[in-house]
Amino acid sequence: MRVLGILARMALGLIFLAAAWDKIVDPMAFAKIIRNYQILPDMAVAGVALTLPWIEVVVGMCLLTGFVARGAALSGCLMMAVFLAAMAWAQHKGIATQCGCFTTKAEDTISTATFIRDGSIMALSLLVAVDAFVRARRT
Amino acid sequence: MGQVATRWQTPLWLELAVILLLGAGLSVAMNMARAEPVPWVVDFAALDKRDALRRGLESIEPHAALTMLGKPGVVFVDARTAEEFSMHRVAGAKNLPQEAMYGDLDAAAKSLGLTSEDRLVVYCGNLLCDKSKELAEAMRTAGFLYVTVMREGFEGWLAVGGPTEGGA
Repeated sequence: MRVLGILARMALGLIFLAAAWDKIVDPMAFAKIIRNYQILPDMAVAGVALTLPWIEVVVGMCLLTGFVARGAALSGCLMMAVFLAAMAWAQHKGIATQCGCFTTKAEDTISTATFIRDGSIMALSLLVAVDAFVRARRT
Repeated sequence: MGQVATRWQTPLWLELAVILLLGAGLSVAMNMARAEPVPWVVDFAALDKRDALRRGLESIEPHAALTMLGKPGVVFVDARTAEEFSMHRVAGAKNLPQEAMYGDLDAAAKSLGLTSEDRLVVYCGNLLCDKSKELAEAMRTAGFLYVTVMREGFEGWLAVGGPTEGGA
């Protein structure tokens, strides 16, 4: 069980690192995607586009190494909850925009597939968070 | 009585703060290290306008386009795919997919009843798409005199509450 927990945590770490790459390479494209969601005021968009990918990197590295694992797992859950809520908002408002999840390219539009993918990552995040908190209580 | 060894554990708030501070610090440092740092506050409307101007095109905000809807000689041209157009579009718009610019654009435009004297307002999906600018550029070259790009595309139109057709 312990090995499974560590593997799940590391897998989640790799997912966050992979998700951050494209956004770091092209922050303006990511900023435009965030703006298309029509949730944040314009003045906050670029700041979020510049900061969020690096928080993903830190969370990913922490999950990979086990450093501040509880905080990283909880941050992962919170981020996934926000991402899913934003996608649901866009769907509800009829906004056909890119997901901005793993790539800033045009093909990654919000769809059932993106909900299933992000929902699965959310489930994995929850499992990793529960495991991290239970482990912390035992020590 | 056995002694219970207790290990000091980092408080959760401190773990979260470490993650946030590291992320914020890295984003500032790495942005400063870029050859061209990205501004922390961006005027997107001006950015889109500059892009259109670079192509020699006139561009307007969705709320300005809204005031043109229904005026004589004004035609909204949807540069998105036929599938996207059929799902949801600006009320009364005509579909001229951007791909048409690679074929006989003049014939495709005429089949929609567009004339070179019409005031065309071309749009595509959102701020990210370039289809409207590319099509508008091609239409200008093809001899259409009054071609304007609606910035922010259909999403911008929805944001200002413009009338639509075909929506769910």
